[in-house]
Amino acid sequence: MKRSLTISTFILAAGFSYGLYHLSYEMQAMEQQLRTLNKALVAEQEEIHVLEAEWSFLTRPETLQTLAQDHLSLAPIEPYQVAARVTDLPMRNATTLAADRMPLPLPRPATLVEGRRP
Amino acid sequence: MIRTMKWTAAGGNRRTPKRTRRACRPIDVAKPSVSIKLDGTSKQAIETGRARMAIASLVFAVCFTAMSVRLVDLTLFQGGAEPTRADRSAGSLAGGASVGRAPIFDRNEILLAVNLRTASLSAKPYLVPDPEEAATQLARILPSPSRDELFRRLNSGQRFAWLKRGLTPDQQEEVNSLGIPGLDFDYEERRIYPHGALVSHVLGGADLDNTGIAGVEKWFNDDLMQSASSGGKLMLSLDINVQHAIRDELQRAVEEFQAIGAVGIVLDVQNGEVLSMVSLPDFDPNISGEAKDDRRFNRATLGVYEMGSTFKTFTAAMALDAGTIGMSGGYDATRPMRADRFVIRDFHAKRRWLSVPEIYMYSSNIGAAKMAEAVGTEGQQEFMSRLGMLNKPAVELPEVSAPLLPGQWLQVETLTIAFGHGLSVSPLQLASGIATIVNGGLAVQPTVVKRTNGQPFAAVPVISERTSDQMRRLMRLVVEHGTGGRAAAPGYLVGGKTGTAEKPVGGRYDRDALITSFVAAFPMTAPRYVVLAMIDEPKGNEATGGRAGAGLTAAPVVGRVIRRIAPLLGVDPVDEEDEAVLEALDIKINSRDPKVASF
Repeated sequence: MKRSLTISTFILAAGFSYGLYHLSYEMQAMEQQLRTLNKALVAEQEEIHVLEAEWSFLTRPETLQTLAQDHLSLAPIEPYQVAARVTDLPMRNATTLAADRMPLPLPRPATLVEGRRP
Repeated sequence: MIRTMKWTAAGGNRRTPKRTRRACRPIDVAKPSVSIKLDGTSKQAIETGRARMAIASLVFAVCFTAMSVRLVDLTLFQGGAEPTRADRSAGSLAGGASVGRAPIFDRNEILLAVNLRTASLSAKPYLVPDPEEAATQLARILPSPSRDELFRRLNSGQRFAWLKRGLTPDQQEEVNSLGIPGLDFDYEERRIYPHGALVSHVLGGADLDNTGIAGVEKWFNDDLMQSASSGGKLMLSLDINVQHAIRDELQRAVEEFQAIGAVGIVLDVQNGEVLSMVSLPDFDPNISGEAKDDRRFNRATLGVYEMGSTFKTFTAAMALDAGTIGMSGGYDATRPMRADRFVIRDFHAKRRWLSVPEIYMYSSNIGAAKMAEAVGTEGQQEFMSRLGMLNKPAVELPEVSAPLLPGQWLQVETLTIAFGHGLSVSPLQLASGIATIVNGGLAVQPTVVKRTNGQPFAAVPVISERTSDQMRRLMRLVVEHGTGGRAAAPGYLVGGKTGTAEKPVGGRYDRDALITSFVAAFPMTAPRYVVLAMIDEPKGNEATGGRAGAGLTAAPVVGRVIRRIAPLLGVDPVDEEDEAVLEALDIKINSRDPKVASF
């Protein structure tokens, strides 16, 4: 009884120490991995910050204005070009209806449809 | 014997355990069948021992529980977060002594200031094999220093030499690809302002140690330092696009009129957010250390000026609100007014009786002085104080001046202050005063930090809703028929007031050194923004016929600015001839001159 207890204790002790040893090494490896990842993360964050700063620099209103003036045929918007509400839009003119020139079927104003009937 | 079982110091006398065991034996032997009852002092001693045991085990239990909890907390709930850049700066990951600093954004989250790890190029000259060739190659990449200077440093034979601080990432890569031995990169954090001079005065700048030296960088220095590690950021109320529009137009005006400086402000009339603040000349905060004092001077907040006729807005609001005169009333402006040793004259003298709208529209000094005279000195002081014209504005910038009050504020001062002389205020104060007048009469506290939605702010009424409505009609009148015609931006219902003041030079007013300003609000039916343009010492040119009044210099700037920024700010243009609009801004001029009465 006493002997089996001693032996099992020894076996247990050996087992546990091996397990612990193994665990400890595994943990060290994982910590190393974590450090590498953290470093990579910080480097990535820094890269992002540099790119953000660069984006902000490249999209300065001043630069955009120069580029727009040089390459686009756009002018500052005039008040009459802005329609604030849907009701500001003019009604569709029936005589220049796009449907007359386009093959796509478009709904037509009731007056036109009725007028075609005999 | 049991009495000897004492909770004394452990391991005292070697013989004690023996004696104790012997002493305990009677209890050990005691089986359940046999019950031993102890009485008197013995029982008491055992009870004491038990109580002490219980307390001790409780204490240990608490300790171990706490340790287990902490263990679980540490292993499971902590240390799992993503590291931040500040961690690295603090030395936990890669080392480095520099300190993080939170970034600054504009109201639309456009980056204005950020800390970047930048490389600086140094050299160990004694290791560089061919200094001449190296200097030539480096000079091709770096704009400064010059090739000769680089060669001098590389050829010095010293053990260490700085070549260039703060390389851009591209430059660093190019230098790296040269593969010259003996060159080295050192890394440090540097504050970068991608927009350069565009937001110079509000941002201010930071020195090489990353300490704020001016502007919000200085005001929020501690906050920016502390919140860096927790990913904090500072959101300003500025809108970079509005800022550019007003700076662009001001630069044009400065050039056109050969002015020495200019100020532009755009202010939200409801919550006092400063959407734009420009002071020309300005500087690049990336190299703020090299800027001259004149460039670093923020005219918008640190400069105080006698604003001239724009103050008549306050005088009219004061008189109308106090009820000393109504919109149909008026004063006689036939002859110049004598006060003490001063003579108050009108620039565009009409030499007749003027109604209140006419006084404001033609910017009559005599009329304004008479309006203030009726209210009295005390009333004026009290009104100006409520309007915030007598206190330092509480904006989040270190460079803010208190207004310059007159040495004594008597009858004469009351009359001159009525048309903007004798009381010097900063342009920001003027803009917030006008915002207060047009927004329904609630005091506006300017801020350069974005207000979060629904954040309450003190809204103390200064003038009544009715007076505010009357003032809006008056300001609209100035643009429609008065001195501010050039500030019109069709569709946006601009209203405003011109101000042309002579600068005091050596105790006298100099006719050629003017401060011209135009302060406007739009759209006048329900004002949303105040726009102020001020030009320092404009000179007349051929296009203006040699004149340099505010209506010719500052008003056009405001008109152009509003045309540019209104679509950006989501202000819808309206039909200015619409019945409802005309009615909302209708005003009876009540002129006694038949020609004027017709419109």
